[in-house]
Amino acid sequence: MTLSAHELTLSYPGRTVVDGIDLEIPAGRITAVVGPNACGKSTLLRALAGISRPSGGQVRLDGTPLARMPPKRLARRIALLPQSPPVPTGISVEALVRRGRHPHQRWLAPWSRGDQQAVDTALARTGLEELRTRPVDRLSGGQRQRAWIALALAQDTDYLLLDEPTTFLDLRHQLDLLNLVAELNTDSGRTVVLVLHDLVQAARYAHHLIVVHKGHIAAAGQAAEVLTEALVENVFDVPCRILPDPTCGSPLVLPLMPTPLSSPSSPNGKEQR
Amino acid sequence: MTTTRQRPPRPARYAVPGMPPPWRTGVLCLVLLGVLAVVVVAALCLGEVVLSPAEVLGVVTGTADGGTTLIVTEFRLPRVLAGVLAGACLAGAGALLQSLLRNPLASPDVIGVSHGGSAGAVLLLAAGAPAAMVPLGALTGAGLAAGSLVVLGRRRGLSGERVVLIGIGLSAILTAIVTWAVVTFPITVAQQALLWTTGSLFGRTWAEVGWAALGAVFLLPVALAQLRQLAVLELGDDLARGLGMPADRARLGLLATAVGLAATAVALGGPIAFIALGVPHLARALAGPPRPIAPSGGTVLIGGLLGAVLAVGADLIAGNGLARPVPVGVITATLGAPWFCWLLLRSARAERPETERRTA
Repeated sequence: MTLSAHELTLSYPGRTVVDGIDLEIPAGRITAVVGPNACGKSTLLRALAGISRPSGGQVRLDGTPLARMPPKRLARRIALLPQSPPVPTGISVEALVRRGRHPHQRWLAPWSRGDQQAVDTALARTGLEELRTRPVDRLSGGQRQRAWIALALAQDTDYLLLDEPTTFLDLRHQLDLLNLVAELNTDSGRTVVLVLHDLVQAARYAHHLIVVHKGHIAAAGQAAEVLTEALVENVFDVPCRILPDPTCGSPLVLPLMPTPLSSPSSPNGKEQR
Repeated sequence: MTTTRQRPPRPARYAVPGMPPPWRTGVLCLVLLGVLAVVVVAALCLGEVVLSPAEVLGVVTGTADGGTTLIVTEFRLPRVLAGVLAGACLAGAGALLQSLLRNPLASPDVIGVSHGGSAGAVLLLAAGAPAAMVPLGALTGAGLAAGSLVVLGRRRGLSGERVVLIGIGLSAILTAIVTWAVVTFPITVAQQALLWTTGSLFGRTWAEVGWAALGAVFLLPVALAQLRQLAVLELGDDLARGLGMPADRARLGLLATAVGLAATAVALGGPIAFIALGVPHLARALAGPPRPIAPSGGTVLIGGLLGAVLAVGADLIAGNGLARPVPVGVITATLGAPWFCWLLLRSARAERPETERRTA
């Protein structure tokens, strides 16, 4: 079971976003893709899910190029949750999660027992059983994000690809979501690929880190090996110190203060009271 | 990677929780069928010669005299059936388009299909073609308008906004053509053209009704079968593709069905106002909360029946309720528009306090 990219080039009309990269997603692990804005992270994730056609090279699942797999078969192997999908109005959480069964359904075939079971499991897994009849547009941000994850879970795939799932969530809900992702990985062995912005969270939760910079892979591997002060400064343009996280030992990226603000108590403002 | 988790006990609920309950849909459909039957019988009874329901029933059983049979089967029945078909097709087209284009104000008028039909029909009339050719002209015009829409909107995968904008542009051009024809050609042609572009069921023949029925019988089941795709498309293109659905192809298919339904209706009765726009909203309101935008099979059926009732009912008023008979489109527009405004105002008022409660 492998998902890998080979000399993958992705471009929009007139602009190359990802330029001839090779990478492999370790099976059964959590991989985080990090990088500055507009570095091609989301584009890469979409290509790994097979929903955008590469302009060069290919993505392969178990050796088969994704472009050559029938869409529904691919959707039974890989689930993608885009960054902020439009929220349908007037449908319940369960009705939303049911749509995740689309790749398993055939033309005009009725809703099956297996479909209902997958939906029930997905709702239970994300703690949404109580909210199953609640309209999706009445959910809080954290609940809504869990509903989208439940939809991807109902798809019942080996691979779960999440594009910035923690954006727009407060710290508590970010952690809840990442813990849920970690549980999904340890309990059922799902391979997870996440695009994340927070380097500390990426280092804590991911087994494997891919740093993307200007359409190339700047580094890939375990967080402790990959995240160095030089790399962060080079990729994110942020001078920093890296310390071992006192709570779990993963690397902790601490940006340096720019010199004029070096001390928060310094009388830097105009109105001193 | 099998999960050995126990299935949670299933709570008592409807087939799809959070969707309108099926019994309500069933009851509504039965009630609407009843109303439709009443309206149809009324439309068969009323006219220059007023018949009693017993006499109309006599035509069915074959006991009526020749004159009554002629009036019912040759003059009134085709017109009534044309109303049923045009109303149902317009309602179906509106429901599909509103969800497909993510725009609650979408209808065949907005994307230029109705105007294409009008322009086709009016140009044919202006060219001196016999009245029997007009539906064919309308069908061609609607088809050409839809074709241009697809060709122009194709580049960005027929995305909602783009299709609506192109449709509005097309409508403007086609309206200009109709106006030009009405102003340039002799007054008799202009009058006929104006009658046609308002939407009229007057003088439909069995042949026209037969063709339209064929179209409706083919297209309505196709529309019902495509609803599942519509629900997935509602989640956005990326998610739809991730779920294994080629979004662009699905959208093209749905657009083709909607345009086909609209063109059928327009060829039969001209662009009858309001039905395609208003009926999907009414159907949602009747089907009950939580009123999803993506139509379910139930709301499409309710909408189809409602569209038929409104078209035949409005035609009944248009033909008998006023001092002089007027085209049916006049009635649907004058009665439908205020009703629609009231509905929008009421739903806005009903929703606002709930939103406030939610954010509090």
